Amino acid sequence: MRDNDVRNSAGSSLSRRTLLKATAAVGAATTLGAASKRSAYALPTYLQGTSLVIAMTDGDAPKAQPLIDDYAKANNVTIEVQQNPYAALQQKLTLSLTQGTGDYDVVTLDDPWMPQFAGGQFLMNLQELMEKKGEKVDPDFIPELLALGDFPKGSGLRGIPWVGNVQVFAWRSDVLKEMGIELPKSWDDVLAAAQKITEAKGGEGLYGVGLRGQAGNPAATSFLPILRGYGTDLFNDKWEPQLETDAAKKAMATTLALAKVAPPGVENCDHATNGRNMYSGVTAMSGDIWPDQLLQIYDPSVSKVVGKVDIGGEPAAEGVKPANMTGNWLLGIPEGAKDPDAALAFITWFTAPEQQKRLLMDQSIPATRTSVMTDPEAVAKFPFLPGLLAAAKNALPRPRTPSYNAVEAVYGQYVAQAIAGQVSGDEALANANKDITDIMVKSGELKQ
Amino acid sequence: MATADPSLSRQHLDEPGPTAAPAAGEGVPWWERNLAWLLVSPTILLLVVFSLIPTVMLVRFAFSNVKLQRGGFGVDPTGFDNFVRAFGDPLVRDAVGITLKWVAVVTTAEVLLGLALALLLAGGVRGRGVFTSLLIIPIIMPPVAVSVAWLFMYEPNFGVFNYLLNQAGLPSVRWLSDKSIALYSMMAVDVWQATPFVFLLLYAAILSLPRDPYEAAAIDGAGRWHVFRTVTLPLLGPVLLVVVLLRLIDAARAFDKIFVMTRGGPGTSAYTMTVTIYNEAFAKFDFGYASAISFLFQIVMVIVGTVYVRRALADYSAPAE
Repeated sequence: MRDNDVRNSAGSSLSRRTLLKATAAVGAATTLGAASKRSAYALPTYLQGTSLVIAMTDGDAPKAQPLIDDYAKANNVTIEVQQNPYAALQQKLTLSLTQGTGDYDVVTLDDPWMPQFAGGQFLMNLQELMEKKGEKVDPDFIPELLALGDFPKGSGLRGIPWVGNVQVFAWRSDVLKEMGIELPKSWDDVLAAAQKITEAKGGEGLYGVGLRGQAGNPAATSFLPILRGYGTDLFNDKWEPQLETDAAKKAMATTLALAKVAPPGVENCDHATNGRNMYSGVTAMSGDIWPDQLLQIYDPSVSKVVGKVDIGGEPAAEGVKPANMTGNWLLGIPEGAKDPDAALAFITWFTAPEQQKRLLMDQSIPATRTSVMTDPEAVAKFPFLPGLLAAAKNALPRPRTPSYNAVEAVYGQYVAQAIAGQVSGDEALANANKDITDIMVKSGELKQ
Repeated sequence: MATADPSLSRQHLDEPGPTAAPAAGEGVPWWERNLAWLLVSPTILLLVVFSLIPTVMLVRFAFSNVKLQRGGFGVDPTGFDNFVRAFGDPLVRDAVGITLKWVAVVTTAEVLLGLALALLLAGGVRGRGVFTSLLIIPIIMPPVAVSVAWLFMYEPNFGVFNYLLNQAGLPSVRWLSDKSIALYSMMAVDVWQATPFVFLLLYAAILSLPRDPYEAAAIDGAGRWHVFRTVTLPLLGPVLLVVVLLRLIDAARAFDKIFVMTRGGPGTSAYTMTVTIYNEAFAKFDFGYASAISFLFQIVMVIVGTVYVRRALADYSAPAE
């Protein structure tokens, strides 16, 4: 069993290392959490009566609304929440932030967007704002997640994480046990296990593995952990694309073989479908499961597999360090926002431990604070939290380049073409490598 | 302009005209002198803001490398680079073929089915009021809602279509994930939603056709097919041409259903021109390249539309000798 395996179902066991980490985290949380209580937070008089416009995804906005309503009522603040689907939010923020339209006072940002927005200095430096008011960033935030808001590294925080998303590898422990399959350590192992499961149980509607094949972000997000599991990444340290390496070719060959033993429809599979396949018992493993899906997997009202799914680090070849991938959401203040003090006050309140716990307990939003992720009441409700915390501490972000959105669109497109059978795996990688090189040269990040 | 001439204003029309008209514009308020301009100015303003300025920007971007930067766009002129790239881009080449296929199939199917339905119901079928009401439902439904509903029906594991196939002892079909089927599955949704629009226009046109030619044909003993071919179709011609033009334009802009159901997938097998332009502009944020493709697409559409309209006008506006 890998070091970062977590047995989360009732009566199952945590690995020793995870248990130690969780215990240490509880200790840290007890110390740090006490210093960050903000239950009686109230705005200073000069900020009362202000108004804020917040941009959020349509998935998160309804969950955040009860808290936002309470804040608005308690502080006589008018808050308008503008909600958009993921892609639309990205487009609106790209135009609004770069053009400095001043449409929003607070924006929620996916962590792969941070290099573009923070790197272009389209977001205010929250650290500077805090220091002016004599405040500091609370050390209770999980450091690896907090660091996502700091781009370029050391330039100051331009986003505070509020949704602690981390991609994990999830598997049906009951299926593996029943079929006598050892927990896969590498993606080669995953493939062998998936083939065995689909062959034996595909007729009953259970498939070995789930992955996303829809062009763009979905296919890219399923492919990246496999690529990293073979010991390479999208770029080397000179920002040269690495998609024509042997490791990338192995990763692509495995991806295509996995797609063959995935449930029908893998070519168009998106986040919602992949999660549904897992909690409805259609897939036995997936390396592309996120906390919102875990919460569904553990929700008896929708899940057929409560207590049967375990999570851990992404598989990796021998000698390659297993790593999960971050997908956090952060709150930032656009440059040119009309009232940064009011915006910062809201962000500070919204990311405080009590609000984070409320979001977790009531709305199933994973926290970004150690104290909340190790809160006994929360762990009792969501047994996978220690595993998620361990994964967060071990997580890598997507490549931190301002061009990542375009890069992801490109390789996500070619991986999807290969999964759909439009091009061969090698052809997809060669095309992606060429197009990504062009993007990096055009942006000036890669010299030729 | 009529209203600029005081002799034609309401006051002068209502009263006996003076023997000598005052000098032009004398005594007439400025707004009345410029009433025609005032009436069309909102439309002109809207056209300038929402059509002319974006088109000028589109052309400028099409010849440039466009970068988003604080407070504006960084526009570096690159000549014809974006167009050269577009002509050599396999994705654009495929998108042209896919768009043509989409336009040809859905327009043909919608016009034929709409015409057939219109003829059927105009022929006095019982319960045609109910049928007509039912056929209006798809038109009033939002395309996104329609797409989501069909997405679930096409779902490979629990969708109703595969359930019915399985009940009949037939294997499941990967409606939206098989690259050789997906495009046609999405075309079916468009046909389902747009056919009633074609039906309504043609049905109204058929009901308003003059009865005399039909009576003459009946006296001559013409068969139904003969009547349709020599009487109905020629009389319906102008309406049919407009319907075809509207459907052609709408089909060429197809985006919502494809985007909601597969995002242009599986892979890129349903990347129409609009999906490709969207992807280049808002996924890759390559506004210069997206503008170039969009500009080319716009030129083709204008040429096709103009040729079609002129041809149609030539056929139907020639004075009878």
